Amino acid sequence: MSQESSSNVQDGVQQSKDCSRDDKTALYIPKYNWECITDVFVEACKDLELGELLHDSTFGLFEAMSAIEMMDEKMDAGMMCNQTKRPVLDLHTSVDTGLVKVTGLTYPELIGIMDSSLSCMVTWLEGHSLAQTVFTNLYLHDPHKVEDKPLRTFCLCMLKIVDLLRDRINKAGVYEEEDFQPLTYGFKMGGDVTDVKVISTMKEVEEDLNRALRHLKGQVQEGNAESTIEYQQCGAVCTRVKFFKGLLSMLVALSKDKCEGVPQAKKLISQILEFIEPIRSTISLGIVPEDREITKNDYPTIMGFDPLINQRLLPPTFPRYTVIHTREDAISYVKKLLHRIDTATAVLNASNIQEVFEVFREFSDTSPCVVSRSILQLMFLPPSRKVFGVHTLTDFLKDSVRAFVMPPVLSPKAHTSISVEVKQYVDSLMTRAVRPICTVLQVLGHNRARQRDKWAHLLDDLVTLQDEADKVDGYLHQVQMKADPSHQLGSSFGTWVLYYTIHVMLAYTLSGFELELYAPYEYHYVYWYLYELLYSWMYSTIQRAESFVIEHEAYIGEWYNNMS
Amino acid sequence: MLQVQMCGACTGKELLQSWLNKSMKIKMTDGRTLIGLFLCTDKDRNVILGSCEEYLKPPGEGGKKEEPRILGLAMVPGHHIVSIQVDALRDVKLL
Repeated sequence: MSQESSSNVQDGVQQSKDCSRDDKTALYIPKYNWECITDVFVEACKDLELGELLHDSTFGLFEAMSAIEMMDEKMDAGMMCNQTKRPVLDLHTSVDTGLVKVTGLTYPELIGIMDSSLSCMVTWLEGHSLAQTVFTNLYLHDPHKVEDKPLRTFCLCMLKIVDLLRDRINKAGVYEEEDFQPLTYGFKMGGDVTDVKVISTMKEVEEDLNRALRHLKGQVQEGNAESTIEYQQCGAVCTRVKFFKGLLSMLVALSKDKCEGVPQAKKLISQILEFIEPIRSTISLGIVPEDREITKNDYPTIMGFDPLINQRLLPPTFPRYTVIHTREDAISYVKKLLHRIDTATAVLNASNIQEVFEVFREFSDTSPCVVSRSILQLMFLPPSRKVFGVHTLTDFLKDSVRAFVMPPVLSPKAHTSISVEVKQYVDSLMTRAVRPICTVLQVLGHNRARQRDKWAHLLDDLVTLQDEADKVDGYLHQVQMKADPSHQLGSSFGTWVLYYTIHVMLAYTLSGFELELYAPYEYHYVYWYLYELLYSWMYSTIQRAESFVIEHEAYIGEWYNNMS
Repeated sequence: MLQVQMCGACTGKELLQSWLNKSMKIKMTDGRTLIGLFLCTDKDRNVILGSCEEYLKPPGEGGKKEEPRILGLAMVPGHHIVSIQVDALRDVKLL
């Protein structure tokens, strides 16, 4: 054996008879050359001291700590006791063995599948993985295998909805791991069909169902008792089709770049809300799971769903059990979600950053879900990085400063008399202010518990911005003294930045109460600090800003009159 | 038994060190097989494998190729190890 191995290395190529050569790719696919060393290993380990670890220099205790311990049922998801005894079949096998229907589905089956899918989607939105929620629905693994038109179209619609929600949440970037799991595990999200096509096919399905409804209604009126039940079931399916079509259309409208789809989205939201109660009252018409043993990660489901189908895709951490929402809870969640999104659309009415800030603050106070927070962020600043998809950030900030302190240098009337240098200074300050101010708004988009840390970091940036704003004010003061010493200008830009700095300090301090970080005996220290320092400072800042507006407007009017 | 013959005067420690970072196949008491890079061990024969894959049936044996579950970094308690095999394709001493 030893002679063989030396000739191997001399050749520089693995030529052991176990190696196979793939002629197509001319790559060597190495196969292992296993050698049993059990007894030798056991003997060798006796040489080690108790507690001594044998490893190379690149491996340490920190790495060792993160290893999963095998044969420990809490950590080892693959252990026999954590494995299920029943067979877990994928979609194709289930269809071939007749366990799952892809054609001739009855209305109760459709209702059950749609309601269960909604429950799974809601559970996903609350922070669970797609693998253990939405994709426990086997039909979604390959919708094109579904021959039944309503079900196939519903599946594509559901995939599109999930994909859009995921896209919005990812782009907004205001989620943490406790809020949301973005991983798609390589599942296809109906990317081969356009949104428009899915919506129009849903419309076709709706029309088919309406025809069936009219036919059934005729039969009911003739006195056919069975038809009454079928009529109700058909109506329930039709309502759901309209609901999901509306939901997809709304998300598509909200995703438009210039926020031009928001009015349409609002209309769609009020339409969809009308379907909520009819859906809730017909949940009982859907098929329900048969009783089956409930274990830690397995629960009874209806046809087409399997909680364990994606187990092998899950990361090898300790086993995580996902409890899917009930169908009633799911529809209630969606109702609240739609109301939140509707509230969020109010941000488009804001004309300056101060107003946007107020909307964001009030919204955050309600502890909204990750979906609505993300949608609000993207309505203010879509991926195009233009405010509401329309204004540039620096222009919007200039409008905001104007509204707050009305500095003459920014007044449209004074435009022509301002030197290029002054304009440059002011423009550069506005450009530098973009990042901290946008971060203020972004922090408000995170969940309440995460904001405090971020406020602390933001204060560093705001202090730097404050310095720069004060410098610009100083420079403008000098320019003013040379031009017209009789009128002095106040520290406009400094006051504006200070307004935000104090707000962040307040947010940081107040969040300590919300997170229960202060001991009761410390409350009066905090109250004193808020009253004597922060709030009185804020009050004087706002007062100063108000007086600036009056003074500056008077000054600009006077100056303009003198010029003409 | 190649390595033992090659270096009869090797201590147990040196032997273990020669196997570090090599591919190792471990059969566990419940019948599962793990294949990974040998990274660490101790006196009680607890073994840490890196880039570890788990096979339910011993790989290479009959039937269709089994898809392993990817574990990443895994630790196998010594008392759950039935057998250990190491990949002897390359001899460290000659490199």
